Amino acid sequence: MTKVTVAEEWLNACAGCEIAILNVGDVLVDLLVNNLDFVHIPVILDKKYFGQTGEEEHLSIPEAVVGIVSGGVRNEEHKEVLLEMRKKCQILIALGTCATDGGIPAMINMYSDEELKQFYYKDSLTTDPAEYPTEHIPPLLDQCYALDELVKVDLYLPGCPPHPDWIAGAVLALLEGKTEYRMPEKSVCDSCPTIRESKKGLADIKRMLSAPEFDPEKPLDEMRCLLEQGFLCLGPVTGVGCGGHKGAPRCISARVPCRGCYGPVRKGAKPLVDYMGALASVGFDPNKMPDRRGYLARFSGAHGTLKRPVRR
Amino acid sequence: MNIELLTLAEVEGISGREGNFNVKVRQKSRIIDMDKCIACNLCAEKCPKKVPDEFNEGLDKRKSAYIKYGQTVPLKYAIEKETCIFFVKGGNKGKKGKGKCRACEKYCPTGAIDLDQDFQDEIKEISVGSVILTPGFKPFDPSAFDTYAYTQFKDVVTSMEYERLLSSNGPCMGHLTRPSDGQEPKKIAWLQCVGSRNINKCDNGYCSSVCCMYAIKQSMVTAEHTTGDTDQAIFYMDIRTHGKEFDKYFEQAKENGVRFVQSRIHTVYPGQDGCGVKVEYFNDQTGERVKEEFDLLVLSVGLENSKSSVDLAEVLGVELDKYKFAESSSFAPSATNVPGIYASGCYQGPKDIPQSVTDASCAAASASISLSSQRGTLTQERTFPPEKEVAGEEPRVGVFVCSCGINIAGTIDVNELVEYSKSLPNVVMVENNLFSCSQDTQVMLKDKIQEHNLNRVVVAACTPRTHEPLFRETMKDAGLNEYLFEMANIRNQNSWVHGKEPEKALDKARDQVRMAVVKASMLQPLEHLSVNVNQSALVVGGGLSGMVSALGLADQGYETILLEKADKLGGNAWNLASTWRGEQIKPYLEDLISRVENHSSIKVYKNAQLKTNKGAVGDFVSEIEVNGEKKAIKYGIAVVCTGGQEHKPQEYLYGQDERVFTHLEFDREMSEHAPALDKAKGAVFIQCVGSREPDRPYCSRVCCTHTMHSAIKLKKANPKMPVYVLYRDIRTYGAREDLYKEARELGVVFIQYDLDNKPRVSKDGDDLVVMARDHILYRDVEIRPSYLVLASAVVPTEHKNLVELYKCGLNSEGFLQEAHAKLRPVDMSVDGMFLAGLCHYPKPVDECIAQAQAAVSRASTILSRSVMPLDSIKSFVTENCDGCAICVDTCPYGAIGLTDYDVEGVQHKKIETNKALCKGCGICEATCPKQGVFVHGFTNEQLRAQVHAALENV
Amino acid sequence: MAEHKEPVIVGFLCNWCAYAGADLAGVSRLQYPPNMRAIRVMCSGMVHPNLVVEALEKGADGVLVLG
Repeated sequence: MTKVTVAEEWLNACAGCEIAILNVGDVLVDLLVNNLDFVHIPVILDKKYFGQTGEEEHLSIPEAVVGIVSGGVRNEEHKEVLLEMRKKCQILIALGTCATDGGIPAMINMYSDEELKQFYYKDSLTTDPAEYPTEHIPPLLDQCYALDELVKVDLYLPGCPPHPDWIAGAVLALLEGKTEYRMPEKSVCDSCPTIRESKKGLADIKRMLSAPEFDPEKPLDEMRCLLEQGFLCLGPVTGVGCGGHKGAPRCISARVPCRGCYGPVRKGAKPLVDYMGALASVGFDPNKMPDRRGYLARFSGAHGTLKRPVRR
Repeated sequence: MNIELLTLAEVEGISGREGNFNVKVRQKSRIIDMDKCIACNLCAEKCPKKVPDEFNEGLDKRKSAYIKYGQTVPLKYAIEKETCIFFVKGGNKGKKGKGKCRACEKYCPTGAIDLDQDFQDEIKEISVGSVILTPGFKPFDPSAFDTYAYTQFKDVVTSMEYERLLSSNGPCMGHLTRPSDGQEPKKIAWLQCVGSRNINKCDNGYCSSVCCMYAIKQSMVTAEHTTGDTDQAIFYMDIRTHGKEFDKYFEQAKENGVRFVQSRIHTVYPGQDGCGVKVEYFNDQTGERVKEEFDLLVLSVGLENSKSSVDLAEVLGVELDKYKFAESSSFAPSATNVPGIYASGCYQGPKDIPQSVTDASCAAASASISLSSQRGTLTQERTFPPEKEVAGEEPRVGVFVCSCGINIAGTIDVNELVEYSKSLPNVVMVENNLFSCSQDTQVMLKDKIQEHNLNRVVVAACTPRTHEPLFRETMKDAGLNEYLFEMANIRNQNSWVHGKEPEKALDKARDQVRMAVVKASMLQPLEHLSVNVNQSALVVGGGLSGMVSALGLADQGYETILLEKADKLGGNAWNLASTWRGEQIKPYLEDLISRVENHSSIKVYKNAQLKTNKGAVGDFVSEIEVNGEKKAIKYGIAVVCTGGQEHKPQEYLYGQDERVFTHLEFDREMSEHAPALDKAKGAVFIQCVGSREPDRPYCSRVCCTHTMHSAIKLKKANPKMPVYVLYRDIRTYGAREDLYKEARELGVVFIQYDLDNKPRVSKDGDDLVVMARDHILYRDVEIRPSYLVLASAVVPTEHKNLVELYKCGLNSEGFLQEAHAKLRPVDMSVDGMFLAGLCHYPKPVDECIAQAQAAVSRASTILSRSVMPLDSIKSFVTENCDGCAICVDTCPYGAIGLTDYDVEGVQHKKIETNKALCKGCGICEATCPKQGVFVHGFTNEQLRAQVHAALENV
Repeated sequence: MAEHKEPVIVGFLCNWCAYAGADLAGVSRLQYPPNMRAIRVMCSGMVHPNLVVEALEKGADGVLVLG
């Protein structure tokens, strides 16, 4: 039987998503024997874009049935690679929250490229002032984009990193001939077993570094909801799935509040507005939250969610 | 449907008796046919005759063809025969056309005016079982008070006139100007007690109860109707803010800079150039004479009965008191001397809105007891064909564009709008009607729905607030679910308000129709909801209010459970000697207890407590504990009468000296050791002990009257005994003012103090020494009394348990919160829950009984039917809900609960909404961060679609 | 494109107060500019902040929540 070809690329990324692919583990090993053939995955397999000796003029990526791309798009090189992937792959998967919603790097969208250069090369306290390099680095785009702002994306697998359950699920679904695979459109709360009593009294907010009340000997379902304990847990506005198909949310299992790494609950949702609206309804004053935008859109700054403030 | 309104009607006579009255009513002609009038205002617009507008206190003009004000019910115009040119000049009598004009007849677009008819008064004989009198009050006319120069100076106005000057639909459209020169007044004075607490120039010895509060309100809202800063001063005798939350409002006014001057203006001089006034009074601090100019002087006029109300009493044989208010008793607050005839509102004496509304319900309860066996025999209901299933169908929208005569068509090009509507998606037919609301159009609408197989209907006409019910009935007649209907308000919110911009009005109308069609296309048929009502009641608390409620409910025919936590019924009433009118409480109480305990429909549980509550209106299930044993009970409604207590003071040597009493303790002392009064050296009463203090910023309402009562008793027992009352403001509202007057006449000495200068109590040897600063002498006064009586606050019972069980609200002082302070004073915000008595606010016996009977009336609106229909506009949970539970606490009706469910061995959570409790306000919808809960007919998607449709051409 | 574009304001009007008030403005024939497009809601508390944001995103020049 012919194997399904897979190409994998990483753009503005950290390789965490690729480790998540490897973490699929036994299932992946089994599939690699008969079903899958990674024809291109530069993180793991050496690959020269312009021919082995650099003789080619155009970027080349082999054709594949499935393309997996992690990372957002921040510079011209990312863009070129992405466009090439789209051209060569029949089904394009955006892997990880950077690819689906911009991820952590998209927080830069609150600043201009000039501000960025000024800070990192000049103003930052731990930096010896230097000039911004001009050679051998691709020019920056005006902001950090999610993949679907530039190309059509067929499948979204958010997460920072994505849970291997969903990667395996998506691959198996495609192998079965399905063309669609959707993450559940529910929030982290759906998988969170903590006790909900009352959200009143949220006016008093605790800092993220202070410890919630819980008994480490007791299971998660005997701990009170962290939001109700006064932590700004982003569970209610974050897509479910960090615990895999059936597991409890990872951060909350570690007794810390959700930071929103799976991005919005569904495409088009506005976690920033949703969360502030919901908390304001239970009496929380949004002005009490420092860096509201950066906090609430930490993982989803693309799609125009985080913008440079208009200077008046 | 079950209320028949007879407007322009007067009672001419009555015969028969309780249960079977025959009332003769004279009804004047409205001239305009009510069935045809669409309230388009054309008759008024064209009418050439201008007359003073009595609603605006004659400050501007209206026409002879008119409605009194925009919110009139029924919203139908009338022609005033007395001023109409046509009728004044002879009408249609004699030779035809003798009365000229007929402008209204000519312009009326619906033919509602036919001046050739015979307009005779109609005499109606009405057969009824009970009669309730609510003719209202008349504001006092200050013309007789020459000192205030009301008739001389234009800038002296009554508070009613001032109210109209402030009103946005008043003569100056809410931008305050003074009558003399049309300038905005910058300095305004109010003079209280004009026509109240006065037996010099009028016979109104009573306090009108509402004027302090309305003057403060007027001073507070003046800022919203003026530009820049205004200086406001209220000249008063005592500030009487004895209602719930009122005293806080008074404090707020002081903080806002309203000046309160405890002095009476004794002379009013003309201001400069004939504008404004110059007033003279004595400074309340220094005693010096002051002359001060004001741009406007408002006379806070009192309330009295009009002559026609007095005449009505005579026709019906109802006795009036010395102030010409209907006589009533504390124990039957709504009854008159004639069995079967009841009274409520200001006909019985001056009252504020909450009290009037409470008394109205009280009268309804009293009036319906004798009729309860006949309940439901005259009610009418309509029937409809079965509903067509349309859920799976593509939307087929029919649009009906109303011309409303020329009301819409005169501004908006309706033909153009019809053509435009045809181009909209899902629209399969469009029609223009002259009057979409007319009876024949309803028949046509029904035919069109069937002919074109419509499954959604849009009517572009007037407002859904008045006409949606009519069209929904037509939908039902046509076999469609009534919720598949949407209106585009192109009259009230378009043609009427953009009359000068027809092009833009048409643009707006297009958008409005498009938005309505988009929404209509998304509407789904809604289920008709109802609750099976358990026609029985629970009353929590066996005090006076609780017993009156229980007895009332049982007399109406409902099985009633009465819970009392103590081992006997009666509560605080056992400690009270008499009402302010002097009626003895004990015999009444004993009789009441025996009637309650022996009533076949009342089950009394003593030593009982409420433990749990499940369910909602119509169908509550609770567990109670009686003498330690648990028991399940079921009921349809609950009345909470958990009462309050006398506050135990922590000052003035209370508890440290046996001569220091609270009011209730002193009542007992007087009855048990009456002979000691003869030898007593004197008595001091200190008012506001624990009330109107920062910790408890409310007036306890009953203490001033109680003090008067006790002081008078002391003086009568021993006229030589010196009696002092140390007070802040005396609040003997209504006819209780007579007691204050009597106390003064008997020689009781009143010394005013304020919070900064409270009386000091100490001991000198055996003597109890009270030091107070006399407010006239400006010197300390030492009194060595035998009795020191502290008028201690009334505090509410601890309500934490109830709040948890029913999710009902408390105000910041711990009193139970009513659903609306003015309009729903006995309902709680939780449906099916009512309240009465001290748990709501401190109040005297008569008001407790009135509120308890009002609760019976309100409860009957639910208990009288075995099935209670519910509105279908309710919240529902979508598949997106995952139980984060943020919405649970935001629901003001406690309608949302959290529940667990299991999928493949994994626990999940989601919310559940209770249809009986939900009011469809949608706060949950706006709270939910994930579209997990919507309100039918107003889902996020539907509202979004409307937003998009509104902005389609942007 | 027209030179001068009329501003469009999306209004969310509470059925019980603001919508009734707008009706009364009609009964009283008060004249005001025809730029608002009213959406009737059962309570101004029903208006999700997202609707306000969305209206502005779609080009509304202003949003009124009246209740």
